[in-house]
Amino acid sequence: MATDSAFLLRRRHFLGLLGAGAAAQAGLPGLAFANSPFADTPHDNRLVMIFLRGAMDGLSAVPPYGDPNYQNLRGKLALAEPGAPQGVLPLDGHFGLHPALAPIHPLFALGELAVVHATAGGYDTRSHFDAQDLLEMGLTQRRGQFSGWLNRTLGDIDHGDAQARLGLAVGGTVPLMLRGPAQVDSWEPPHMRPVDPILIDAMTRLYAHDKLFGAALADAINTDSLSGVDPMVLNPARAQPSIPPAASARPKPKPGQAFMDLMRAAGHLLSTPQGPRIAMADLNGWDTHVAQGAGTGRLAQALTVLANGLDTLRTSLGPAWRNTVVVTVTEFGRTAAPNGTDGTDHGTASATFLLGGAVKGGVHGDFPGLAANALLENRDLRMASDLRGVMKGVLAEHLGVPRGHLDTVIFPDSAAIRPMDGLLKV
Amino acid sequence: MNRAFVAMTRFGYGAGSDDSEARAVASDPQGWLKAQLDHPDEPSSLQGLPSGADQMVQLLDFRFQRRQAILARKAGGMADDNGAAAAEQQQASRLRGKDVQNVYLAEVGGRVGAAIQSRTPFYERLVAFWGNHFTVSGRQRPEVRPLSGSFEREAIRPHVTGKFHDMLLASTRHPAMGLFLDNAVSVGPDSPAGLRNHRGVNENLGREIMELHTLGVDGGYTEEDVRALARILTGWSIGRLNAPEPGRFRFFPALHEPGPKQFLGRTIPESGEEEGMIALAMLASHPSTAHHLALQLAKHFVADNPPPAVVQRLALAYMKSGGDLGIVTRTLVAQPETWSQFGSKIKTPYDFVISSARALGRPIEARFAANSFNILGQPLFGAPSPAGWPDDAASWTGPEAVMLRLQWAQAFAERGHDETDPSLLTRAALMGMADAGLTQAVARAESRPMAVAMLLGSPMFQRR
Repeated sequence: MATDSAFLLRRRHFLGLLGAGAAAQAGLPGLAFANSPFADTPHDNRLVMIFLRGAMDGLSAVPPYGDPNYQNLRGKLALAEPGAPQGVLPLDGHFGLHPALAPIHPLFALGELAVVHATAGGYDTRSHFDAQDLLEMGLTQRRGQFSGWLNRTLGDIDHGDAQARLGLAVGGTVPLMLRGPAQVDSWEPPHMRPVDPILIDAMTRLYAHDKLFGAALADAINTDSLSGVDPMVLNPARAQPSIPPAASARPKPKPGQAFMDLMRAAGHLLSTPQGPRIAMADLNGWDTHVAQGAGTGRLAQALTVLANGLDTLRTSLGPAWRNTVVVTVTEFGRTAAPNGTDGTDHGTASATFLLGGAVKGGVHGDFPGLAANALLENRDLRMASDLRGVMKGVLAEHLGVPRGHLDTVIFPDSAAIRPMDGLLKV
Repeated sequence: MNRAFVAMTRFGYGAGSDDSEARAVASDPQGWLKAQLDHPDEPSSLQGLPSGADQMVQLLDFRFQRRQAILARKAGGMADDNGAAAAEQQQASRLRGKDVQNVYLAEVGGRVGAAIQSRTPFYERLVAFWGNHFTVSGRQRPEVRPLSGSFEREAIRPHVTGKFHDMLLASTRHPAMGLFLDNAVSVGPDSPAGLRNHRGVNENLGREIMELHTLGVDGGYTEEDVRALARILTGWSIGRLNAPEPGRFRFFPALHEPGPKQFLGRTIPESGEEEGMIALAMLASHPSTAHHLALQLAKHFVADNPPPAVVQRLALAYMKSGGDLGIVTRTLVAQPETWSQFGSKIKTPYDFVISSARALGRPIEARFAANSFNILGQPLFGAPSPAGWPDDAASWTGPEAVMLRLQWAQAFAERGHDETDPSLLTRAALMGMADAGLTQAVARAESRPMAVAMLLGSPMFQRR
């Protein structure tokens, strides 16, 4: 209980800062203190973490279509060759992108999109909650503390202003990765987002034996009764007018609009001279046990949402994109072969995207391959790159976090995990 | 069905996030309920909130200043500073609006805090039930807005286990009710003031007392009785600013309609304020009132269509005890039917929000609470009519309402820091009564907030 009220106080502080100043500055929030003295210091670099909750299937997002076992192993989930309808978008001839990621595909040619394949957190669990906690705490086993590695990183960033809040949670909550001793701010959209399709699916099943709720929900889905209603303002005193609205009015939100709104807000706040420098957002929708699909289907929808959001973030950051690294992480990968319901079950390694002007594009790291003897327990893509190593590489080069801290404070007891080199432009 | 779960869910605001209370209830669920009637918590969240008289004085003062300003402007005619005076008046109205909103939010915070933290949640449910029975709505009548919380604290809360007659008297005489149902401005046409100013009776309060608060619409009264009660209550008003006790109930003989009144087949001789006391006592002891209140209680706590036997027993307890609500309430929790029909009631939006907060062990900020109630269609202290909020399933489970609850559950789940495993939260909140489908869905959800939203959206959580 104490956590929550303390958090609310901090949030109020943040919105107080944004609210009044922004109103006077006509769309340039935060510029009450113009002329940042911090330009071109390490503080000017931005990091955005996006947590894909539910375990993204890395073999669908970044298909190794050049692997000789790909088509056979993936079966119904295999994507068509590049050039075919809904075919793979080629990267380096061996790996490609899922076609739903088309909005970010041009970044690869620009050298602003990197992929590290076969990444995992280094822990041994296939439970969503456990794995998410461990990944966010930067641990491979539970121990007493309950703070996030991204929060612990905040103390290591040289920014010259001890009062500045460098961390920003975008969305309704502060994810564990960003919780801890350092105070962080949060931005929350004023409107409640529509009910997640995943939640609607789950509730449809839970209401199957309840006539009253079942019939009401079915009716609501059929008539799409919410779409005609004005968005519901949950926090009218907050939020406004810090984030300029989308360019065009939108009577009916399209899929992924809520995430695009979050990314627009994140880009806007991160690009302000004395704004936050490290942001984090969650994106649900990756637990594709059923009807995952290949070129279309549930996973394609989730990837569309992700790609639209990332593209919005890039646009919203403006020139700050140059100094930005965006990293997507997920708690684990999924089984290499389809399960019995045209989906995939919880697995081990997935793929990680790094995007931004500061990123050195390309496909980094090793790939264990899909041969039967290469798979872990004959079912999962094996880990080749520990996510802690990936993050160490980013934190060291991009934010100047010292190696000693990376090995002990940020990712405790991880001296054996070397920072991954070459992820960023020199 | 687990009787402790029924006690906590049906008569309270559900189980908390840790199971210590649930274990204590388990040994004697009915005893746990009855003990609350004897020793209710005094919610700390309600301390320091303004009194009804205090708020009434502020309202009277605002009206007085406004009237003065208007008079001054009229006197000034087309004088140059007319624009400035108008702007000043606008500014005063704006400030007043802000004050009112702050009081309202403080009241929402107090009410919500009491409901979430209380160790005697049954008592809080009773306060809410009777507060709704004697609705004063700031949404219908904005001037009432800053008084609705004090009304409940002063006129309802002290009497929910006492005599109904006392509650009826306190609510009828509270300035919030006088304002809300217009009795404060009702004038006997043959009273000195009525003859002088050609003003007359307003029947609003007289009618609602009989239709809603006591006898019920089929309780056997006539239009003549409505008019009689309205005349009987003329002069029951509110002390003016220059009176010794401003903002409190005050009887004004000069507004009171003279002469004897025929009421419910009886002649009430002319006796000023005493006439109203006699009339309210007659209503409180009337068998129709016993039946009406019994039916309302049974509908609220047992089922939308409660077993007639339960209603009869409650009405009998009311009549035998001389309208003792403590005894009636004890009779209610002793009815076997109240324990056997679990799930027949759906939580109202208010109860849904409160029980969600309890289940997750989270406080709710006043503004978030107020907005949540608005979104879910049940603004606190803002019922659409003097009849108060409905609490039947049909009123709250339309397609859009059900979807809105899911949307709210999702938003609430996402704004928290629940470090507890959602499976443990589910076990605590539903006290082990979750079915296999829900248990599995929560365990397999792809994120904690998603799992928590499933718990809150589940029929088992929304029913009682």
